[in-house]
Amino acid sequence: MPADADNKITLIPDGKSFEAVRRFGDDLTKQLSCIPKAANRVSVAIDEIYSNIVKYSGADIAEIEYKIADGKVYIMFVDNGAEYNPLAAKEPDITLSAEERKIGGLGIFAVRKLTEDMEYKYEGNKNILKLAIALE
Amino acid sequence: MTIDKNIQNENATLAVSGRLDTTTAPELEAVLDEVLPKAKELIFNLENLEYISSAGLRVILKAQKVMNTQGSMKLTGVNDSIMEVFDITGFLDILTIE
Repeated sequence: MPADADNKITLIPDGKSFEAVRRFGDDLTKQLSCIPKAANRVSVAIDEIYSNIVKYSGADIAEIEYKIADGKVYIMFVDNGAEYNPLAAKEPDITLSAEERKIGGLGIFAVRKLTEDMEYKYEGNKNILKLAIALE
Repeated sequence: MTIDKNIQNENATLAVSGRLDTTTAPELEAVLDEVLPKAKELIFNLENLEYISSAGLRVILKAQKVMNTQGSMKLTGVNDSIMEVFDITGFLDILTIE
């Protein structure tokens, strides 16, 4: 496997890979340190999407790649696991009381709210998810 | 993530700093399993918390549910970024933030 560029990481999505993803995310958020809200959105998005890949996709390889352009951070997640379209996920009811609350689906919901744009396609047996996060 | 515990009788303050995410949330859950049974007042000091993801929200929600039945719970030092996550997920309505 060729070495990844600085803005890309290729992973075997298991429990041990989170540390590498955290460092990769840190390298990105360091570049956004003057925009704490954007840095936070990026951190949340990476944690939510990547942990879903690890827990549910059954993928044996995953990639995360980002670029910063036009006042936005674009992050792309690719995995070869089961087809899963987060845009089709049912939204949780966030008006319920603490007692009635269920936590499932909240992560993807948070990412949808924190991103300006989210695109999904399933192509060549791969899930390809692109997020755009505004730098503001 | 680091958790500083300050427990005096039935009052517990947990200062959580760093990241509360998929990898660290289980650590907070373990501390809460130990603290919650005796707590009447629980305070989370989040002054040095960098970010929270849904794994962290799940643990906070679990604590809130327990404290609703046996005392009170509040969060202090919540920064704007973390407030945004509480806001979009509807957590502002179920938490007490000072």
